[in-house]
Amino acid sequence: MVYFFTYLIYFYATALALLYLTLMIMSYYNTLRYKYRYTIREENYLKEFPEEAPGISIVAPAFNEEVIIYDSVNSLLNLDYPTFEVIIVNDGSKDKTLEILVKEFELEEVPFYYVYKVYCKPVHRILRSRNPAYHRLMVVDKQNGGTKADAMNAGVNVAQYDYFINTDVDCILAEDTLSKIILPVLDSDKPVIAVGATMRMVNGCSVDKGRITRVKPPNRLIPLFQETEYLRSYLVAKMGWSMVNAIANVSGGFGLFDTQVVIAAGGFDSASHAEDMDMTARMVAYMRENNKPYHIAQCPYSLCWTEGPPNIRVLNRQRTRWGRGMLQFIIDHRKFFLNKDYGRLGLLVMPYIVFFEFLAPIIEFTGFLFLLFLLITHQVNFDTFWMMLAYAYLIGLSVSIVTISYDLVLGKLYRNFWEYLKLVLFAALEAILYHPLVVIFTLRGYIQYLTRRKFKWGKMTRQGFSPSKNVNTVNNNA
Amino acid sequence: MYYDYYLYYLSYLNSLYNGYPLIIRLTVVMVMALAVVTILGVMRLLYIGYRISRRERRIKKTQKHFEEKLSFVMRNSARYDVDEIRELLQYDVSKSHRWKADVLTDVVLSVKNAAYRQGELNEINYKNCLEALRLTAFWEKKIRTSAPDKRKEALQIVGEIGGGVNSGVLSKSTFHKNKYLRKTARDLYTGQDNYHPYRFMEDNFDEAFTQIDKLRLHATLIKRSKEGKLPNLLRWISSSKNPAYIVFILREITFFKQYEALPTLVAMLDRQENKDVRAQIVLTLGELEYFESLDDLVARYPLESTVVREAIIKTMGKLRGTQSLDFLIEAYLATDDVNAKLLIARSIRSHGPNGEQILHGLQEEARRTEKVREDLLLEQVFSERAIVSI
Repeated sequence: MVYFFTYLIYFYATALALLYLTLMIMSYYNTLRYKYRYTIREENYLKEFPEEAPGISIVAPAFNEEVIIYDSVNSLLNLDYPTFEVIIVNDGSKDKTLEILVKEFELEEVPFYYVYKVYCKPVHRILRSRNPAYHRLMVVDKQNGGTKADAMNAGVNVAQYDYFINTDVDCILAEDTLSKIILPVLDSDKPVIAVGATMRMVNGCSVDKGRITRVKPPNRLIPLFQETEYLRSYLVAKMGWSMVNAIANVSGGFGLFDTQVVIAAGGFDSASHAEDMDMTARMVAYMRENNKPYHIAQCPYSLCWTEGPPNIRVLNRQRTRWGRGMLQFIIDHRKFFLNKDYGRLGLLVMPYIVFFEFLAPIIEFTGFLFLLFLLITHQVNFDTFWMMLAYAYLIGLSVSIVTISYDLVLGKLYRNFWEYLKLVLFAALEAILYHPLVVIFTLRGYIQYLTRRKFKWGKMTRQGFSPSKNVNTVNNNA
Repeated sequence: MYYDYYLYYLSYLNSLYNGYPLIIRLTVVMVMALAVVTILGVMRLLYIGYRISRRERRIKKTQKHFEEKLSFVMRNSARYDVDEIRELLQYDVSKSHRWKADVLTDVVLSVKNAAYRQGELNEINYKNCLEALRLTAFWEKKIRTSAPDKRKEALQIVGEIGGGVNSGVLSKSTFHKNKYLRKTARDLYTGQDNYHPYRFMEDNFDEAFTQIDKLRLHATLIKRSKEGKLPNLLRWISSSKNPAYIVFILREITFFKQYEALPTLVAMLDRQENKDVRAQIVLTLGELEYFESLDDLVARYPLESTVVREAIIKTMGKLRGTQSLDFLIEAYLATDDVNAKLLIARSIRSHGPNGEQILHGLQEEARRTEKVREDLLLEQVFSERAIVSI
């Protein structure tokens, strides 16, 4: 038994190390290829010939977001792209979110023939502005559905363009986001059903009127760790997987989706705790079942900044929800697992999710306890104990450092080089201070899912983009 | 370098774990490998940081020395020859570093673009600046010798500079196996060749034809059209089997208003099997206001697929007249499809006061027969004009 567990943990860690090594190589190649393939010249074509630029709908649900709604909508309206619309879905807010929108953007109710192409809770009304400055804005006022998925569906139903961005109002998008994210769509000979991009932490950045004026690494510990974690996920894992068209999840914080494919696949699932991963899988399944070619692309550039959990309490809520979502996803979509009819989704994505995403916290936790047990019972000595720990530690650290160098290859976002070294320094502490918490919270999520039936969506403490504004605690349905 | 040290530590580790199970010894090897990756990662990060700051310094230095002088020459209405420019810039190409031309190109292009936007660019002086700095020769060499990604970048820069490279230099890239390089080269060739510029356009441009190629070619055709009248674009699609390429050319026919192509397009409607191509033909007929096609489009409407029917509805909104209005009313009353009704109502509205009057009539009828949702739909169409629409 002892030997079995020892070998299991060793081979698991080695498989993980080799997988990340492969992903690092693939993502490096992919990132460089992307950098040379899509330059500012391609983006300029879109601005030069606006009539040729495909339209994009930006859908952002808002539930009790009075602190940030004005800056957020202003920021979205000022994106640098010729053809787009901004759809804010007021998901039955109980605070002044709608009031602020109506007052600041001079909105009024308009007659609108609302078609429920995908299911959502009843829509009360559609509001638009008479002011030409806000002609791109549309507000969908609906009954609270309790989930982001429901609000997204309400927005998708009115989206008039072929592609839409799924984002949150607490996200800040880079000014050139739309022209960057649409390029893989324009340059593919296969239909591109979704595109993801790198997300970072807004905590620590200087923000003025919903625009980032200075990118800085977060000052607080948890967002700082999460910044490196996000970079690892986007720049190594997703960029690597995109080489073989096997991206498991286009993030719910920011992603571009094909409107018609989302509708055909039934829209976002309100019952899902991981609605983004669920949507991505169902879109792929829809394409496979209908024998249609597809591609899911990943843009390595940082296009979206989101507020990270400022403390352990919020991190706990976030990760337990992700844990619940992961387990629910695997159970709901078990029919894809090792099913050759679903191609890469069945043979690559699902096994990866099960073995390296879902099982990782379980094996890490039990593996550590087991190693400790072996040490206490003198079945291993200190040399072996430390060597095993160093192995696990270095897998994470090496990937983090390589990731930070990839980020720098794409362009220097932080003004000061020392800020990159700060990321490196804290990456060295991540395995000790941050990762154990993530493991515990994820396991808690698994247990919650297995033992409870109903879950409340967590609360998120909104800091607001402008430092002068008051901190406000609101329910977050995103 | 320091091999003895490395050997010493390896021997130490070897002796420390001597006699341990294989799995532990393998872990030691993996830990060593990961430690090397980590150290190399940190060193690489430092090196990239150094390179970035070095480039920033070089750009600053180059801008400081050249920007003002280049701006003076390029905006000056007096003509400066190559030697005068060289003297003014105090720049000896033979003694300059390799990185200089790369950085200088950015400076020259930014000065040129700024002068062009303000209508102050002296084209001859600009060409002479390029000659004095030997930038075209620098990029020509890159096109010949670099790896595909860098070569593609060089081709794009040459395109931005305004061409001027020998077409022979491009020929190797126009048939390269890397499709991105090949298409960029073909686009540049179409934009600058004088002998047979449209040879690739006549041959589907490229088998991997994407939306972004459409944008590039659109820009190239605009550039060409400024130099002289474009040939009849229709001849490029007569032998094409690629629907995306045919749709692109049809859109260009609309953009360049090639009215002479319209009778052939009506005939093409019967021959084309691809519905996207047929829809684009219909839209082109509408955009160029080809009223002679009205009968044909009306007759075709009941037999066509949804995408072509939608195109016909939109086209009827462009071919404003009694016949199109009658057709739209009939189509509106005949359909139960909400999306089609919405499109038809918009096309009726685009007929001006007559159309508005008819829509009011339809709305009254909807109210009288208590068709609430249809009433709302028409209300939406009216409000789209009152409220600023996208």
